Amino acid sequence: MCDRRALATGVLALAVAVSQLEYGSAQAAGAAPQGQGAAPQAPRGGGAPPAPQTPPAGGAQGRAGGGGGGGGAGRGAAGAFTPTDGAKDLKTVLFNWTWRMGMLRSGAESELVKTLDYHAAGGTIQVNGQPCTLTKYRVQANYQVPGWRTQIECTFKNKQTYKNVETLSGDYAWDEDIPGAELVAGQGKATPNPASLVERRIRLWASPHGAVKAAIAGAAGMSTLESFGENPAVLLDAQAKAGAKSTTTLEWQGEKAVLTFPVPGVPGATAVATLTNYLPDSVVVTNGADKTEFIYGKWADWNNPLFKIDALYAGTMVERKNGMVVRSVNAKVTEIGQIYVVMPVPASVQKAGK
Amino acid sequence: MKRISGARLLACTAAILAVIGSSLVAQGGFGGGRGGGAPQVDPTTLPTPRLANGKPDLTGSWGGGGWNFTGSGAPGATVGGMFRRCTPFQAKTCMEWTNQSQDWPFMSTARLDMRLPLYKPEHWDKMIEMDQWSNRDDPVMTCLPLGIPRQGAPARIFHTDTDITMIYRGGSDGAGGYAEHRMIALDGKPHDPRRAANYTYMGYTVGKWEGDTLVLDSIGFSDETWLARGGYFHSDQMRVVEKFTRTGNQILYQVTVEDPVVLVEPWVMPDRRMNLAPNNTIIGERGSCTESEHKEVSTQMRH
Repeated sequence: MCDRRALATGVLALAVAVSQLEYGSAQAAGAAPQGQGAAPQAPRGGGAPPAPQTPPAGGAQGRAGGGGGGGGAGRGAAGAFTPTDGAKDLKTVLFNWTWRMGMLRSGAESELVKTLDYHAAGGTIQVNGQPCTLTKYRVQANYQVPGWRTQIECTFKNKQTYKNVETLSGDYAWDEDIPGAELVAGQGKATPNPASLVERRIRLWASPHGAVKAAIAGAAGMSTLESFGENPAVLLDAQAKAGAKSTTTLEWQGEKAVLTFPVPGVPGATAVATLTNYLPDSVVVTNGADKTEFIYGKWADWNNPLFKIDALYAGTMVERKNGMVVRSVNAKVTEIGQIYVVMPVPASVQKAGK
Repeated sequence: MKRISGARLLACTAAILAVIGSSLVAQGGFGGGRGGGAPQVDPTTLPTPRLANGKPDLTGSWGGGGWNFTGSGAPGATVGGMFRRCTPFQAKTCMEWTNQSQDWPFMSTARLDMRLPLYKPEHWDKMIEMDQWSNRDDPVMTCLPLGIPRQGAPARIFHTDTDITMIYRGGSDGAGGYAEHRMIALDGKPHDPRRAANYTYMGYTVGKWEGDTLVLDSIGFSDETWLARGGYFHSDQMRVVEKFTRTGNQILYQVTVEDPVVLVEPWVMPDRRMNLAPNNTIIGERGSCTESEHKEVSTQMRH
């Protein structure tokens, strides 16, 4: 968006603009009560107060005005939380996990990954017990909804093809022949599939983003929607102060951090994430007699080469259910923070019930 | 020396201001609630001035119109300033003041809001692609007006029994856009189909009263503008219905966008409340803007 010169000039323009803004705001002040027109601030789960705003990065302003700095500079901005070297507590691990994955954004270093758009380069899935070679595998996630849509197209050994769109949105699970089926009358077919709700929720909350979000929510004693948008360390401090009870636990196995946390929306299910250098090697979900393992590797910034954003995702993902590999996919490209990922529930699916 | 296009400079400044602006919104800064020592009086308890015809007089300078998105999907989320320190995991060439380009897609209210317009599924990928190239294709980048409804709420209104003139502040979309105006007859006549064929950015608007609420009904839009940052396109069949309800020194501003070509259902924007300013707001003329780098855009950085 902004090269150095444009940014520097922009900052100068900003100075003028801000002065006008302030002037305009002062003029517009009127005699309104505080907060009129402000975005609503919902109470946080557990009654904790909203997290404080991080002060602006003072060093950054000087640099912009000065027209640039060298590589490796720019470390002067203070964060809301800086992990202590060697610290092995839960707050530090959760902060570093999100920090490592590039999920902490803005000067407040809040966890702001709302969406994902993932395209696989290839892989294999099991369909009715038969291996099917993927020709298309696209996952769109909206962690706020929470929603998860997987577009699958694959070919069996006998050259027959399989196609499905697996969708999860809130408490509903259904299959679509095209994404967004039945949202427009006569376009596509949506088939309720409530039996897959648990499986899809597990897939969502054991995913690379989902796992850390679930672990933070558990540690904060909140829902994933409530814990979204906060600096994990600041949030956990506030929740601890408010007396919230953590359901996420941590142990160390040598250099590996092992976190155990509940799977949102799947009562009784437990996830265990094993991290190496704050990136998960695996997330293992136990739900009753079922054990689903998600093995992750080749962590990298898989985002569009035209817009690398230092946000990591797993390049390889293997899903094994009760010992059998059911999905194995390799990343082609991701768009973390995709602007438009929606999963409205079709009327027919709502009517069919949860 | 290579010239920085007005559009690109505007976009850079817009992004900076957008973040600051969102912070101000969160603090009530655009909400007319800054106070500044002013007495804390509920503006809706004050008398409502009326025109000779008995209808509420909307004349005045108004603040607090806010933006089209409010980040409603992340209630209480802490979106900080635009400069983020480099993490220990980023490349050594990382600079905190360039992190803002990477972070903007995560911070924008147009992304955090859950009340997004629902596009027909056949347009979902188009929407995504337009966002990806927003650095090139956002109408702001080509010096076009923001249009209605992206222009936001009017900052100053002149109102008579027979017409209403609305003046819009420049930079209303996080510093994007320029000062604009609309003049609307309030004669109660329906849209003239011939005039509706002349597409404009602000639309062809007719006004009428529903009780004490002024209803502005606009059609005849150019499809070149967006509803908001991030590729929220619309067709030339868009219809925008705005409602202004003045109570005391406050206007409740409600907007609904209908577009049967691209939307599944009408998009109801968040209600906004505009507060009367104590002094007249002077709004500058449309600024200079020269688009000169459109073909040179080679990244998909968002703004």
